[in-house]
Amino acid sequence: MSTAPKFIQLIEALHDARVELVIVGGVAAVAHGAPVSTFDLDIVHRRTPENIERLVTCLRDLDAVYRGRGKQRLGPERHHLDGAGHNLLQTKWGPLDVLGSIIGDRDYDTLLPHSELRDIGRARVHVLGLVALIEIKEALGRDKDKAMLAILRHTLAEKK
Amino acid sequence: MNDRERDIAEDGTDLTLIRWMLSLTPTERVQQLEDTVAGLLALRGAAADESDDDGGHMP
Repeated sequence: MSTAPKFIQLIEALHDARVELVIVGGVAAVAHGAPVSTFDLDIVHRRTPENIERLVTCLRDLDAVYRGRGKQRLGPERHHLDGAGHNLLQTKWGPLDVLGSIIGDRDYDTLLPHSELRDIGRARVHVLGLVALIEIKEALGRDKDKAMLAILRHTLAEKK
Repeated sequence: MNDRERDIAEDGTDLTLIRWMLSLTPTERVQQLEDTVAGLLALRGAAADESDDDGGHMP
């Protein structure tokens, strides 16, 4: 049986390692109060050499390897994380998607102004705001995004 | 507007769940998510075990 993800421990580990990131996706939606489910933590990291170095070290401590590679245990290296691509990882605290950018060119610097600081566990982290999350789900337009959209819109309305 | 109309949106979204989530702190919300996912994975594991057991009785 799969081990349940420990999102709070994962977020605290990244925070302790001083990794600059914005939490996006389902965990961001939940942090804002939307009752949705997700099995992984999605982050968009700042792609400076210093931050990538901190992230690589943290991922090593988290025993991170790429998911879906069978018995091959390939861990992320610096050159994997300095591009805009998506790194779908399995860590000791659960699945972690490390994203260079989302929906094309929205990277850390683009998303940061649309994020809000939230206290999760003992970490204070940037979480993408509900309005931006809704815009991204609308742009993605996949069935799973459409299913979440109604809940996100109602959550935004209830907060006002 | 009756209670049900106040609590369930026209598209079927349960607004009481949203209001309950909004009453929690961000940490409590994420903790709730962890508990939900753990429950789902336990159910999936139990279903797989049951399926394996059934398979054991096959001729």
